[in-house]
Amino acid sequence: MKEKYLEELRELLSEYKIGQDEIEDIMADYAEMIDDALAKKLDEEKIIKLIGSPKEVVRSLSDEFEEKGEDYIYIQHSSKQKHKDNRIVALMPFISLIAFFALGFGFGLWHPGWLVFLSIPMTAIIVNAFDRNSMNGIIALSPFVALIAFLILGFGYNLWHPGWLVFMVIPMLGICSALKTMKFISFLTAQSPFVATITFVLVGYYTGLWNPIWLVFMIIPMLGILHETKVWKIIVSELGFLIAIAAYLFAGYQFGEWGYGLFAFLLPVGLSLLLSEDPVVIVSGGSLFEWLFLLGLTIIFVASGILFNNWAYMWQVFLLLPVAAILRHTGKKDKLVACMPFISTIIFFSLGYFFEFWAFSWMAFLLIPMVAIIQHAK
Amino acid sequence: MNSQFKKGIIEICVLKIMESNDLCGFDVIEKLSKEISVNENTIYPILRRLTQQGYFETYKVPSPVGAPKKYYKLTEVGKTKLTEYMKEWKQFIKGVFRILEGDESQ
Repeated sequence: MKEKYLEELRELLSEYKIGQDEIEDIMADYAEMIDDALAKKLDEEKIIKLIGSPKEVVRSLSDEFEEKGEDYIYIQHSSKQKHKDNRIVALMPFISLIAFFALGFGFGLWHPGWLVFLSIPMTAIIVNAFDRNSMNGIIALSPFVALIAFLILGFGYNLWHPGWLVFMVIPMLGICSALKTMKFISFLTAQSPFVATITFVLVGYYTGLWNPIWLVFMIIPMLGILHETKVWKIIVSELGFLIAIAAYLFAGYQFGEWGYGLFAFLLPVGLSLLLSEDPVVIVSGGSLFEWLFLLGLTIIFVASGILFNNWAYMWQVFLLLPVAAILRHTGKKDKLVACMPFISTIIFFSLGYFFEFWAFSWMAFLLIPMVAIIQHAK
Repeated sequence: MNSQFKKGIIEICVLKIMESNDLCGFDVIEKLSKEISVNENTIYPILRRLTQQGYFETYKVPSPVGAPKKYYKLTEVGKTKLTEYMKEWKQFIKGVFRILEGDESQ
């Protein structure tokens, strides 16, 4: 039993990128544990139960070290190609430099020829971060791919705006990586803000129909409601949204009263508050403070929209809802990090809306990882 | 129970049971599995990681019947970590009990 067990364990371990010393150490530990178990007259079944089958052992070892992230990874899925690939990584700076000079001197393409230097980190990521079991490599590559696409769209076609939308692919891929561990409907809900933003900006930009295309944002709460377990609540809530949308469009197109049409949305908001123990519109549950806060924000939004016709900007007041919930319910240390996506969105949208800086204002989103890194480095 | 949560508990237990005694790998697994319901095959990987992180050091003792046996000994770093974990754990469990007993005001 011992020999067979150890043989299988060695074979499985060899499929991973572990140093030979490490493998020998693990093998010796398991040999010793089996000896101890046999000395105590335990039968094979009991031994396997205690130390695990070779397959379970390797899986546990792999999980144990991989889930600790960059602090401690010593097991990675191996690839026989790795050694060869590492040579390519080492050569990439030289290859890039040659390509850069060739493009510059040969064709006068110093710009955008400098983009070839992005191939250095990209190659390293392709070689080291690609893993058959995860999307880490693709996610790590996505900022570079997005940047290249953005620059091509900007320099090549002067499409800085709405070309910045390609950066949306980064968080969207990030969410895709969690697909295995999340419900499909949660996945759709998480993707919905990005899909809505892309649709809103593209349709708005090319057709000028900012209103009523902003209604596309309604897919966010409409998908969110699908998490509800009671079917009748889902049907009533979805109907509330559909009626509100229809009423809003009717008021707008029929009477030109877009502002008053917004009052129709009090229906889904009210229904959501009434029907759910965990209301969709209020992140942290219902309380008098949150009810009043929502009401206050709605009044500000509607009043400001009617008075100054700034509907397209003032929707952001509703971002204060989750911000308020975060400030009230998140630990002191994580407040800023948790609020950064909302702060970044406001900076991004404000710079774009007031100064037409769409081409650069997306950089506000870089504040999210920057703040997180600074905070965690403390 | 959530597997991550369980792993965290196993980690504390592994550190704790070696606070006063040095043990070999099999003894750790046997001792833990007698006391708590755990997936035994996760214990060794945790023990190994904790060793790599410097919470344990190992030494070998000659065995009359076979290869020398490897023993794990809690290091000073491990002791500090254990104290830290125990403090966090006690605080956490105190809160859980308060909630379960329906007295959140204390």
